[in-house]
Amino acid sequence: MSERLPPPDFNTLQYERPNMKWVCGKASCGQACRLGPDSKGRCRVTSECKPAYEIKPGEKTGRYRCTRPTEHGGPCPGGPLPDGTCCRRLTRCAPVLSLRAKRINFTICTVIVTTGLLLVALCGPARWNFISPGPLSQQHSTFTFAHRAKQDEKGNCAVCHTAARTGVASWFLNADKAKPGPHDFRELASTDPVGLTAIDQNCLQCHAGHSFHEPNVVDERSCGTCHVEHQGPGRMHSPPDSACLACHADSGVMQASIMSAASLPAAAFDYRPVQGREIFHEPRPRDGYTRVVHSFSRDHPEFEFIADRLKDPDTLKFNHQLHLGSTNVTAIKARKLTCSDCHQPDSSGYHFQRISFDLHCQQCHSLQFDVRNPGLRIPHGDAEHVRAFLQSATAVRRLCRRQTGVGRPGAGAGLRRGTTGAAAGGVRFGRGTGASRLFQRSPLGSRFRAGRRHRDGFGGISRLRLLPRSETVPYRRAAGDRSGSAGSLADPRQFQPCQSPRQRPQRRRQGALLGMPFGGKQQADIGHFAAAERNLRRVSQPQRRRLRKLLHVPQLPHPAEGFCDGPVMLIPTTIHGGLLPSRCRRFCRARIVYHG
Amino acid sequence: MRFSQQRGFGLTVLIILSVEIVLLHWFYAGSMTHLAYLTGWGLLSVILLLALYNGRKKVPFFPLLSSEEWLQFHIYAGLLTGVIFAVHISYRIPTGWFQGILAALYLLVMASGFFGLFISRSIPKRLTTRGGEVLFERIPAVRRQLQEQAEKLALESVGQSRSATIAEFYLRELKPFFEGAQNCTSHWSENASPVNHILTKISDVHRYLDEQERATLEKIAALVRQKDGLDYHYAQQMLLKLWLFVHIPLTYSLLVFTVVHVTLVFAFSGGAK
Repeated sequence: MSERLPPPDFNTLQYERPNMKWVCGKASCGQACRLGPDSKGRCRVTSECKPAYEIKPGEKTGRYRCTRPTEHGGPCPGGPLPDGTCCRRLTRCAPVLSLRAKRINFTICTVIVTTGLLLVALCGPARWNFISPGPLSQQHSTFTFAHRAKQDEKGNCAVCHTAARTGVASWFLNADKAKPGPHDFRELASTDPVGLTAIDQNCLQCHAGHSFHEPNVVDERSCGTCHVEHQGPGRMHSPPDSACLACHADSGVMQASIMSAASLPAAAFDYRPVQGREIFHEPRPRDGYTRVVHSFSRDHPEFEFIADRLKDPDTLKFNHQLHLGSTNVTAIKARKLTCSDCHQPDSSGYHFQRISFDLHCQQCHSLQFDVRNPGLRIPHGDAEHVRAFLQSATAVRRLCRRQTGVGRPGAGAGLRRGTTGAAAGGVRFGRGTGASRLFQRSPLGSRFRAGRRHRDGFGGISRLRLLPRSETVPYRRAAGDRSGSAGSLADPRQFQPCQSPRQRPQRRRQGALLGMPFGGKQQADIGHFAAAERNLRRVSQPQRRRLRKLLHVPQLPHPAEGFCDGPVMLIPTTIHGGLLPSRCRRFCRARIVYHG
Repeated sequence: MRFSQQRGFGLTVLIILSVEIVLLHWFYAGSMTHLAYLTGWGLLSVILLLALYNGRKKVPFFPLLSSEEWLQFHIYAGLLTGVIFAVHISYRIPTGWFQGILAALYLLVMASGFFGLFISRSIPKRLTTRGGEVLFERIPAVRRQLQEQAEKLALESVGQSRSATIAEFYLRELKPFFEGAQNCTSHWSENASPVNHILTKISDVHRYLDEQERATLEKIAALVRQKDGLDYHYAQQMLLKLWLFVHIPLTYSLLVFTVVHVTLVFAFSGGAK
């Protein structure tokens, strides 16, 4: 930087007192008085000196002498006044706090402000949020928890923490009474497993008997040893390996668990709360899960679910994202779906009611499939019922034949027998079923042929396929029909002849173009029609018109707008394990039309 | 023991203790349910020991090691708290308002401590390099002396040369400079442009002065340099005192929060982990 400076000259006789609380007000100007303020911050100066009265030998009366020290200039030339006061009076200053005293005051103020803010935060309405070490997991953020908190009227924390039921002043007492307490260092440093604590008693109100673990636990361990809360939202963090190994690495504990399990009924191991859910249970090993494990990576056995290649048979998955965010759902409900539209609490308020198709799904996903027979619905929930319903087509056909005369040989208005369903897109029925035989004998049945490939094993209709050209086939309930079937297929004479075999390759190409996989062999569903619509937009206008005319691809309205008037029949055709695929449910709102 | 040896010994002890703490925590994390309580108590104990350093300075007559030894302990123990703090929070960022504020307070105290350590090591070297050592409390008196000398020179120049050029220049440009501490931020950043600006103005005035006045102005310029050195000392020594305005109050706030934290932990855990 610049050249090194010499130390400045100053009076070394003048002693500085940085530890004093008050300093002279003129010190900042470099004119601090010699005396300085007192301990209470009051200026004490009156004059530069206090003259001394001296009587010299041989004198009767003495005289005043100036006592100003040398470092402040020595005796003044004027000297003391006749009355013994200094002639050089000083103006008083306003002493100021030293830097150290200011720091102490600032520290005290900071501590006071900190304490005040803490008290405000701890006594205010947001104290639970303030002291919470983190958000609860989703398992403890449920309606059940909120309901319990409402019952306690002390907030969420009081459900688990006893201290939250008392005031701030009692927290110190609660802390002192804690087991182990703040001063129980021996217990704090102990490596013995911790038994049930005060907070665990509140856990057991919901999780009685270690209901989150196999019931053959031999040690009463604190829940918090393994299951640590306040680690953030989402699923509760899995227990660390060390928590599992505390028991599962001990052969004695595991042996005791086997003995304990022997005395428990089998139902005791079905400990997971069902709460209206269908839970997949893997079979429990003979000795339970008591194999001694020393390390998860070293000797932990493969999970049974993976080792035995188990599979949850329930393939139905509910798409929350679609239902809560789809514009289609919004249009149907005229508003967006919310959680409470389906998930409604039960009377106890602890759990939710089971989702019911009638209450929660049917409003949008009606099983009605014919607008002219609104009472005709596919049964829901039981695959056997659905099969029976589909088999009732036999009765439908019989009634149709009786009423219209159709069904007698030769009365089929040009319908050809034996048309290959795959190429012609005809409706097929399972071979050997009653429906198949009846249809084969009737003019209507002459259009269909039972095919081995299309048997579905249900003993009923296997598939309904696209027809190249068709007309509306209305359902009509027959008078006196008590067969259980809801209606009948009427006037099959409206059907047009199927395509000839020569037309099949062309149909396949067109079917592929129109979004129907496998060259139009695939069953018709709404997805195919939608794909066809999309594909049609990509082709030229004349080609589009020709294809439309040929295939009668319908303009499907949205289900919310009503039923389709076009010559389209959309029927849930494939039945998978007794469950109607979601796509099929959508068809049910459309009118049944055989499409060609 | 020389300073370098002292530092080597301190760092060695610090590293050994840190490694031990980390290993012990890793080893006992699974078996000791209340390990977080123990690390918490350990952390609080060390923080209290650190806070005692301020009290030790208030009782210099007490025969409890020298202040220098206390400072060394304060530095290395302070660094050790970082390790204990990390194992206490299990190497996770605390969530929640209270714990977040508590952790932030600790980090602020730690950061201010690092800053204090840095400036207490670097500023004395700077001051020695610059020269002109002076006690902080005596700086106002020395400044007053310089101001009086400069004013005297300016007044004398009027009588000697029968010209008020220097006096007017002093009143206009130099009087505010001599009246108080100036350019603290520039001195903290070792920026000499303010004093160079004044010296440039002084050299600009030279052309209007005769030889005698120039000699007087040179003396005033020397006083300006001395005053700038004094301001440099004032700024640096003030920084050595100001950082404690952050470190000490935050330490006591941290202690207040810690007391509440211990209370909450024991009251709400009910003995759980």
